[in-house]
Formats: sequence, structure tokens, C-alpha cells
Amino acid sequence: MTAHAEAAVHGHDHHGPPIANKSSRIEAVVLGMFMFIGTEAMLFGSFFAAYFFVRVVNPDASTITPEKWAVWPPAPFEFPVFVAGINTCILVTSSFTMHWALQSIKRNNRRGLQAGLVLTILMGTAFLLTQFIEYAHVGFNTSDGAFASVFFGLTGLHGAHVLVGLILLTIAALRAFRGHYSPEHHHGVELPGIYWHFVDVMWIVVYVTVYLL
Amino acid sequence: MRNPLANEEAAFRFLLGTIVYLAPIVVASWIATWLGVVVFVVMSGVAVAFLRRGEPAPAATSVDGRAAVEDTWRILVLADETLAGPRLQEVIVRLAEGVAEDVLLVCPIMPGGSFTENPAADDTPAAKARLQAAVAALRAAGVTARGELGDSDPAVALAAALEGFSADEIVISTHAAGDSPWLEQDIVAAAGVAFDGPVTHVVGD
Amino acid sequence: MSVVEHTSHGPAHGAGAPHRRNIFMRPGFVRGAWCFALFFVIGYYLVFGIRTLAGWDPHEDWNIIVLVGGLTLGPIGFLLGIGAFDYWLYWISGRPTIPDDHANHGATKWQDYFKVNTDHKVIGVQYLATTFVFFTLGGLMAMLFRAELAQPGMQFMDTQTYNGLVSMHAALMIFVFIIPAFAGLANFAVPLMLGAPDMAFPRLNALSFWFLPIAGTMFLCSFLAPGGAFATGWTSYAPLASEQPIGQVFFNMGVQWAGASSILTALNFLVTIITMRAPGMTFWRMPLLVWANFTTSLLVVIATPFIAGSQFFVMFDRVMHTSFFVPEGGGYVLGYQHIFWFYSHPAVYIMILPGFGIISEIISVMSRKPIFGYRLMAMSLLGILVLGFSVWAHHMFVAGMADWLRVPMMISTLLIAVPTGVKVFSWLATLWEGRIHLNTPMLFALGFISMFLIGGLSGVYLASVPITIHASDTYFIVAHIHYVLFGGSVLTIFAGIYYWFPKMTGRMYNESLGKLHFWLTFVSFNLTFFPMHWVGLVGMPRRVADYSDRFADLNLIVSISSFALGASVVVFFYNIIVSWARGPIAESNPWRAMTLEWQVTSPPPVFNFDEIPQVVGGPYEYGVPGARHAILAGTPAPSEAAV
Repeated sequence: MTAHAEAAVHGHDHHGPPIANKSSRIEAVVLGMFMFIGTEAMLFGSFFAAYFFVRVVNPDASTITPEKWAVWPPAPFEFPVFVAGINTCILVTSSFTMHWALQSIKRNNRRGLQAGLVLTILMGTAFLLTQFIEYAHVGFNTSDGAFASVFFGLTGLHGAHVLVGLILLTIAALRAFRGHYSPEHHHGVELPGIYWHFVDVMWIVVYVTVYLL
Repeated sequence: MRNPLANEEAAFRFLLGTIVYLAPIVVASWIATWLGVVVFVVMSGVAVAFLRRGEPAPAATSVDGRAAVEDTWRILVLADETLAGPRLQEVIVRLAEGVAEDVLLVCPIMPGGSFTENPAADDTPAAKARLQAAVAALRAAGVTARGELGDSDPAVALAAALEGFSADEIVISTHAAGDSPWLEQDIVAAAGVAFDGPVTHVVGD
Repeated sequence: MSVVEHTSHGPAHGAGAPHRRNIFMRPGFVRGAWCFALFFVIGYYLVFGIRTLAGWDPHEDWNIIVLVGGLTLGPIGFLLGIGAFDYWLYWISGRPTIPDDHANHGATKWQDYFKVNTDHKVIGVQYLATTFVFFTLGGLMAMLFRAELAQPGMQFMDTQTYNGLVSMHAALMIFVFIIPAFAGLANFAVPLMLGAPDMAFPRLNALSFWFLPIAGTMFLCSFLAPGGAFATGWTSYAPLASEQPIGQVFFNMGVQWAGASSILTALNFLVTIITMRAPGMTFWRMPLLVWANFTTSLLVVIATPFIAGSQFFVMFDRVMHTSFFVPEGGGYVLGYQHIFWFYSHPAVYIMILPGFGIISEIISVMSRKPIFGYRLMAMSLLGILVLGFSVWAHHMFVAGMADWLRVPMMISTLLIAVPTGVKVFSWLATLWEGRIHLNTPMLFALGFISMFLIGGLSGVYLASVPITIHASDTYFIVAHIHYVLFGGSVLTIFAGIYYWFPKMTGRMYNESLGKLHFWLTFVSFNLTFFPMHWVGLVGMPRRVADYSDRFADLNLIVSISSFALGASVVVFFYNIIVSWARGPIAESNPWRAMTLEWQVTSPPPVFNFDEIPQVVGGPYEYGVPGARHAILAGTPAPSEAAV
């Protein structure tokens, strides 16, 4: 307090803030990203809850097909399981390239970082494009019943997250090409990387529950 | 509480773990629903076991170990009439070899609120003298030591000392069996139950 | 974020700033306005374009245009215009940025409070001011419909307007008053209590504040929509909500903005509390306000996405004709209630736990005694956190859900009374044989304990399924709600504001006016809400614009008392505003408290501490000789915390 009073007397308080004490081994931005992912997982949880209600709790109300949930999606509709399976492989591979990109910058391999990021973005974009085309050709739209609502809801929510991830990765890639990252400072790659892995995990869960089970 | 998800590598491993967990379940349920359920249960068990493998084992009772030099090795010594005897001294010095020791000598002498056997005999000054002598002798031998008086019931004194002093090892010095009210109280066995580390019993003089 | 290696250090902080850009281009409300308009137009063409290309008729669907343009993109444009994204955009575009740029930090004149400011102390005051504006509006609406309810029959409004007022009152109070007011108090106090120079993510903090006026304005704008304000109650059940006029969408989206604000703030708190505590401050040496905000933030982060999901589904059902809650398409109507209440029950704990923290602080300081059972107080917070997720269906006992769910929910609801009871008894034990200073914060704290007890007891009754079958959707519920929300949360908000007022403003409020405010509030509050217990049990339903004649007398009493309650708030505003402008200068520690925020000047220095303090003991050791909570650089040895 005395020091502050003196500074005020001298007419300037240009001293910056004191460095906060680090009371945890984990970095603040990394913890923030993991908690944000937790919140987003809860949002997916609410969509899965709707899926649970539609498919398990209330299967008889549908006027499209009164059969039990053993027939999913209700006839005559079908989910494009194979195409989505290819999409799954694309997305999983993109996580590997993302991991490789991060490992590269940790070893000061800038070309590896740049290549990894670009590949990840390309594969993510391919995933989204495939999804759009799939939507156009799937043969039903959002007003065709609860199964369609759940399908578009879950895959659409996931697609939105992929889009956000691609934006983050593009920013990271642009900065990578400008040489902004180093083995000591690469949070800007690590955080989108964590987010991207979460997007991938979420897709696997969505794919398994919506398309396969 | 250690945070398992602390960086991108952990996130990547989580992704791989998810794939490894889900793939067998999906394949099995394609073959047959009941098989899928079985594999689900099995994979869940595997997942739980895998997640728990990283947990540290409960604090090891060091059998032969002496702590590395960086850590202080704390020795709690419980003795009364044998406190200043040479045999106890010899044992303590041996235990303190090669470690950065911190020895606490506890002399159970303070009469508690309950009836003691000899309410008239107040042995405290003599006990204090023994304590001081023992500490001085240990320090002369190069051992970091200090002393305090404890409750006249040795078990109570031991418990109280352990609360304030996180001992790694306990030494209890008594008279020979037959001569020792403490041994009749089974103090060494009680200490072994209450304490996770090595308990050494010295018959002192 | 990571250090930007390739930047030069820009103009020195504060000095040598270039000429100000003109009013349309510099961050502020003017730029916010035209950016809002621009983004609205972008939204219009986005919707129009996609619908035209896809061949969906009508091409110009105002339902969707309002949603996308007005309620989503427009506010983003506003945020862009006021400068909430400026730093990040500069950084993304590669322009030189200074990670520790403090140009928008701290307030020296009143205009600074209307800008995007990264100082948690400024943001805290911004939250409190904004939430009290919505409190006033929500309260005025309550008085309006209480005027209508003073006598049976419809006097001066129609039933749809009445429903709109009731819904708006609750939505404003819950989403843009109580939850963010606690966020504001915590924003001010928590970093100081932790010994931190600010929150972990100050720019994110600023952004989450600015979501709040957007949310509240969105709610209020529904009055202007064709068809009137949303009138489905704050619970806005499907399928009614998907079929109402467009005003409903203002609620659906407003909740999303308020929820996003809440979530981002909670993330900030969690990271701050975990990673920025002063040296020596273990979790078991944190003040209980910090514990309370830690638990509340966990609740927010886990639960709020569920209300977001429920509102998304309602909007999808309206706009994209999905069948989430439409039975003809296979949807599950009750699903809305399950998903909605899975958030909204933890929401009530979000609305009370910070209040518990505030009361723990005040009771300990004003009775000059350590908090009784500090560890159990912290653990009871965690107990409420965990149990709070298991009771949501007690809002649905009569909704037609699966019968087998009712008794387990009843049991878990009864169980939550246990940790709450631990807290109440601990406060009483703290007061026991303490040296009690009956000043305004303490009066509100004591009022809270008694009123929350009554509200909690009516809650225990309602936990029982047979009683709820009788009392559901009657005024008994309204009585319960208001005892726990007004007698609970609002009294703690008042207590907290009076308690931290000297620290926030550097001036002391008027104690006599404070006491007058308390007594007026306490008496009129009880006269307003206590009769509702009776009126509800004998059969008056809630959310009705008209009622049977036999309830007339009590309703008249309630209405008149509610006007008195409204009037009592005027005393509060007068006290706060005049004291802030002209009150006596306050010392740094008028309450002789031990927590860290009282060890710095009033108001605190712009970066809180010159050096991070060293914490050496617990925060509540009043009356313990030689006890110290923390050592600050340059402070002389203390005298014992005075009894």
C-alpha cells in the first residue's frame, strides 16, 4: 500500500500487475480449455438425452412406424452408415496429423507443424463437405419425424463444433506460417489441438450411437 | 488431486482410448446383441482397471529402507526409565546412520486426569533430567534430537506424539518382559497396529 | 495466451496515443449500433439467400430472419462494435499486440463503467448496476400484475398481457438479476480474497459481462414483437412454446445469451480459484465465499448447457419443424421438462450457494468469531453440488412422468435438507456467544437465516409427493419460491452490497437508511408472501389472472404489501447513489475483517496488490491471539484482531 501511495504521489502508476502466484501445476489456459470442453460435452449430453427420450423412452408415439426401436431408423429411411464410416476414418486420421503437428513444434520442426496443421484442416474440411453432401442426399429432412430431428440435431451440433475447430486451426495455421510458434511457446497450437481431439471423440460417440447402435 | 487431463498428449491418448474401448463393443454387437453387452461389461472393467493403474500404491511400510538423504527420516522414541540407557542410545544412533534424522524422545510421565498408580510419587523432575541427559548424549553423537514429556499412559503419549510429529519409524524401549508394565499392556503390538512404519522394540537398561 | 514473438512493443501504456478515431469508428455504443444493424442485414441476406437457393417458400421468413439476424448475428455485431473482440482480432490478424495491454483496465471516471473494461472490480460494479436495472423493471412488472390481482375480475389488462408480465417478471429476476448479481459480487471480491491481481481471463470476463445487457434487452424487446411478449411462464414448456407468437423466441435466445454469460464467468472463476491462489492459500484456507463460488461455478459449467439444449430444441421445433417434442412425429413431450429441469433445479442452487458464502463471511466478521465447522461448511457446499443433480424431477411430480421416479426423487430432495441444515446450524453456532455487531449487513444476514429457514421448511413439505400433488401449481409454490429467492438470495445480495460497499466505492453508506431499508423490506416482504402459503393451500392456483372471490381479501393484502416492498427499494437506491456520490470516506477495513480484500485500500489499487501476499493461516481466526491470515509486504506487525 505504501508503494502504491508513493507511486500515486509521483503521478504515475505505470507499474503493471504483480505476477500472480501459480497455485497449480496445470496452466490456466489449458485448464480453461479442458473445462470448456467439459461444458460442451454437457451440451452434447442434452442432445443425447433427447435421443434417449425419442428412441428408448417413447418409441410408440411415432405415427411413421409404430414398431419398437429395434427398427432404427424407422422404415423406409436409412442412415448412410458407410459414408459416415469413411468420414469417421478421415476425422480420426486428422487427429493423428494434429498430434503430429504439435509433436513437430515441440521438436522445433516448423515444416512439420505447418504440414500437420494444413493436413488437419484439409481433412476437417473434407469431413464437413461430406456431411453437407450427405445431408442433401439422405432422403429425409428435419420435418420427417423425431428420428430425423435427433439425427440432424446430433450431427448438426457436431458439425458446428467441427466448424469452430476449423476456424481455430486456420488461425493457428496462419500464425504457424508467420513463424509465431516455438518449442517453448506453442499454446496456440496445443489448445486447438485439445479441442480437435474432443471433436473427434465426440464424433466417434455420435457415430456409434446414432448410426451403428 | 492430480488432474489426468493436463495437456494435448493426454487429450490425444483419451481419443485413442475411446477408439480402443468402443471398437470391440461395436463389433461384438454387430455379431449379436448379447455379445455386445458382454463385451461392454468386459471393456468397462478393463477401462476402470486401466484408469486406476496410475494411482500410487498406499504408503509403503519401509522394510529395510532408509529414506534418501533429501527427506528427513523421523524417529519417534518412547521410553521412560530406560531413556538414558546406553542400549537405547546405541539403537537410535544406528537407526540414524545415513539419513537426515529428526529424533523425538517422548517420556510418558505426565499424570493425566485419571488415577495413577502412585499419585503421591511425582517422578517428573527425574524424568526431565533423564530426558535432558538422553538428548544431550544423542546430540553429542551427532544425532538431531529433542525431547518432550507425554501422558503417563504410554499408548496415549504415543498417539498424541504421532499427531504432531509425522514419524517414519517408532522405537519403544522397555524393561525386560516380566518387569515391564508396558509390555503387559502390549504396547509394542498396539503401536504396530496404530502405525504403518517399522516398530523397533528395545529392552533397555 | 502464448506470447506473440513477432510484435514490437506498441505505444507505451497511456502515453503517446494517436488522435482519437471518429465516433463511428472507435469502440463504443455508436459503433455498436451500426455494427448491430450491419450484422442484422447480413443475417437477413443469409436467411433469404439460403432459402432462395434451396427453394424453400416463403423465401423471406421473418421468424427465421428475426432469430438469425436480430437475436444471433445482431448482438454479435454489437459486441464487435463496442470493442469486446478488438484485442483478439488484432492478435488473429497479426497486428502488434501487447499481451499485457492494460489500456482498458481500471476506472477513473464514470464513463469507464460503460466501456469494455478488463478490471474485475469494474466488471463487478457493471454487473451489479445492470442487474439492479433489471431488478427494478422486473419488480415494476410484479407490482403491475399485483395491481391487477388486487381484486377479482380483470380490471385493466387482458389475460395474455398478464401472462406476459408474469413470465417476464420471472425471466428477468432469474436470468438477469439473481444469477448475474452473484456473479458480479464474486467478480469483485474473489480475486481480492485469493490474493490475485485479476481473474485468469480478464478479457473473457469483460465479454461475459456484455452478454448480460444483451440478454435482458432481448427479453424486454419481446414486448415489441407482434403477438406480444412471451407468455408461457419462465419455464416455457413445449409444445406450447413452439406454437406461440414470435415473442417467445426472444425468451429462447435471451436464455442462451444469459447462459453463455454465466458459463464463461464460471469457467473464469474455476480457473482463477484453481491456479491463482496466493502462496500458502491451500483449499482449506480459502474464505467460504470462494468455496461457494467454486461450487456454484461447477454447477453452472455442468448444468447450464442443458437449458441451452432445451431452448435449442424448442427453436428447432418452431423453425425447422423438427419433432423433438411433437408427439405426432415421435417426439417425447415430457422430454422438455426433464431436460429443462435438469438445469433449472441446479439453477436454484446456483442462485443460493453464493449467498451462503456471503452470509458466512458476514456472520463471522460481525460476531467476531471463527466460522463454526469450517471444513463441514465447505463440504456441505460440495454435498449440495452433488445432490443437486439428483432431484430435478421433483418439479414434475404431477407432470405425468413415470411413477417409479417419484419416490426416489422425493428421497433425494429430502436428503438435500441435510447439508443445508448443517450450514444453518453452523451459522447459529458461529453466532452463539459471539460479540454481535448489529449493523446493516448483519441485519440482512440474520433476516436471511430466518426467512430462508421458512422457505426451506416449505420446501421440505413440498418434497413429499402427496403434498405436492395437492399444492402443485398453487400459490403455496409461489410462497416457497419467494421465501427462498427473495428471503434467501435477494437478502444476501443486499447484505453483500452493504458489506462490500465501502471497499468498492471508498465511501461509507448511511447506516440509518440501511437499517430503515432492512426493516421496511423485512416487514413488507413477510406481509406480501406469507399469506400466499395459506391462499395456495386452500386452492388458489398460480399464474392465473383472475381468481375466485373467496381469495379476494388476502390478495388485496398481498398486493398492497407488494407496493410497500417496491417502495422500500427506493430507500436502498437513494442510500447507495447518494453515499457513492457524497458519502463519508471509508477506511480500508471498517469491519476489521481478516480476509485479503480488507487489507488493501478502499477502493483497491488498480492491480489489487503491490506484491502478492503470503497466506499463513485460516481466514476466520477472530479472537484467536496472534492469528494471522496473511502477511502483506510492508505491513507492520498486527495487533490481535480486535474483539
